[in-house]
Amino acid sequence: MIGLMQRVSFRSLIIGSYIFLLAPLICVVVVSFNAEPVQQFPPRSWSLRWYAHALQLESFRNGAVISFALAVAAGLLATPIGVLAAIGLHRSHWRGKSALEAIFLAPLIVPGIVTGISLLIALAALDVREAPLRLLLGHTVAILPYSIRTVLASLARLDPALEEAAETLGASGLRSFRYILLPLIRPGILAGLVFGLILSFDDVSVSLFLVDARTTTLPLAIMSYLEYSFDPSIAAISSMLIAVTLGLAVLLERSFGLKRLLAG
Amino acid sequence: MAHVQLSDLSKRYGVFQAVETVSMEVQSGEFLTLLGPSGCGKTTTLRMVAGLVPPTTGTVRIDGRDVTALSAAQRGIGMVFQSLALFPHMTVTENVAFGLKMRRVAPAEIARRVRSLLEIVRLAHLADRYPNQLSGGQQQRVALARALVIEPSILILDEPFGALDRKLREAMQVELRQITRDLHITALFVTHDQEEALMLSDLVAVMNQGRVEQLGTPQEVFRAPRTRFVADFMGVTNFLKGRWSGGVLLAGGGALPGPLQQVGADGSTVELAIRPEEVLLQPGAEATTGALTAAVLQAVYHGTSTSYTLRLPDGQTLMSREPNDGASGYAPLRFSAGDAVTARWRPEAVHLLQS
Ligand SMILES: Nc1ncnc2c1ncn2[C@@H]1O[C@H](COP(=O)(O)OP(=O)(O)OP(=O)(O)O)[C@@H](O)[C@H]1O
Ligand SMILES: [Mg+2]
Repeated sequence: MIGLMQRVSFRSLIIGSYIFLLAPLICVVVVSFNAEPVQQFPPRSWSLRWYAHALQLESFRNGAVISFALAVAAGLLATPIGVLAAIGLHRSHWRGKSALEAIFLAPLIVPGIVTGISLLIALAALDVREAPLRLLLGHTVAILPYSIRTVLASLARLDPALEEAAETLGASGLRSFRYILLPLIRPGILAGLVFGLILSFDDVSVSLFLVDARTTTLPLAIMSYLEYSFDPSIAAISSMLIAVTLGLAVLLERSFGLKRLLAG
Repeated sequence: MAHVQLSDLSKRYGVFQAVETVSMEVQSGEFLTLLGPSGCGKTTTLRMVAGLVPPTTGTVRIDGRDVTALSAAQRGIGMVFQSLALFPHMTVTENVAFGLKMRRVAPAEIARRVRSLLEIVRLAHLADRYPNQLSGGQQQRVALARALVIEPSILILDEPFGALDRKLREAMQVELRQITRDLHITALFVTHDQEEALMLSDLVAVMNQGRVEQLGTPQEVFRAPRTRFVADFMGVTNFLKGRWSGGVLLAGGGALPGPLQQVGADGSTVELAIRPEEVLLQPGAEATTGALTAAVLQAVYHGTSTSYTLRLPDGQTLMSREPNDGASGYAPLRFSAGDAVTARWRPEAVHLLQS
């Protein structure tokens, strides 16, 4: 009897938490189908007009293209750097190792806004003025820790004797990397890449300091749109973002198991 | 076919001496086992032979050629790892084929050699499985096949049977011995199991704290241990202190059975070891030359044998172990605590130890 009650109350706690977490997202999605030009919940009449409106907006369209290209470019740049850094960190046994590891993982802990300001100052000092280049470098630095972290996690799971076995069988360093190490850490590499894509695509705090009038990302375009209008096209574009992110997360879960990756 | 020679091989990690001036020679086709407790440097020694760690000092020679500077990939030594280290993303066939693929052998030839080797280790029916779909014994055989496929003249095995149950272990030991004989491979084997070392090897090197304490045939290390450590490791549990006096060894309050070859001057002390099963007991204390009188402290029944702990007149203790075979298995214990007995043994049963 007590067991049943406990189970029921535990269930309700879990369901309650999910509702608490998901309610805002559900609201946004519902509101996006509102036919009126105001954000009201629940809507009185329904339509897809705000989706059409959002897709026509010049700033959203440019922002989406830039955000997408930026995410892909930063992901492709950060991933090989992350893989090499992780392998180096994993193998080294010298004393400065943990310090270097902390530096590499710092953007994970430091607030995004601090990372953004630091990047602004650093890139100005380096005389990098073009917004696209600044965004690319900034996003690469911001997502690098995720790549390093997921690859380090898969490396930690490997038996160090695997590479030694490959070596005794005649595989030199490069071929042992290609045939043994790379296939075994590939799930970690891809997971880091997908995390990076999502983070870059969603980022506000880092981009905020690096964009200029002509080059802006989708999240920033949404924010500036919000400043002078508050119609449901915001909800519509947000719903589309939710769908894309959710799709990537499902893909990640299907291929590698999100839980395992995050635990690593 | 390869002759292996280690000269003054040492490995130091920081201030810790893992292996210290190990020298030994293994003839072509011989089976050498490194035997010793955990942490004594067995793995480190073999890793230096395989080329996986550079020695701090010393050289490794194969067939007279100094290979100390060569990488593991260049040495072509087959190795079975303590953890097996099968490639988890490859099937049994791919695992075994790996060494040949790295040597750029033609695909048809690879297929042929892998198949014939899988037949030798009786795994042909599991060729397409992944390692995690195999039992411990099957994984073991894949690891062996993978190491053998490159036709190494030297095979190194680091406690390969550690994780197997007793029955499977014995079957694998027989198989391994058969394979190394058939292929005439020089084998270097590591274990901390005394029995395994004795039954497999042509030569046993007993290691302790980075050093080789004794190198010899299984009979030599078992029957004539030279140090207390080796004796202890071979299951000799009786240690006595004695003193030489005119060709006679005095210990435990009497003269030990002789003749013994005196080493050192009269009056010098020596430590000696005797196997408990060599100590024979007779009822009653009668002090004659070549026998010691003793009092029984404790009698313990072990099923197939009975052991007696004895106190000698000078205070040292001695163990005796009697088999309970035939009629004696049904009779009551011969002695009980407090009985006076006479202990004797064959002169050859005494091992004089180096201090
Ligand atoms: N890379 C290393 N750095 C520091 N010390 C090491 C290293 N490798 C081994 N050692 C030390 O050297 C000693 C010998 O290690 P080794 O692995 O050769 O022992 P072993 O005889 O194989 O033991 P086991 O039976 O437990 O496998 C151990 O005390 C170990 O801690
Ligand atoms: Mg070991």
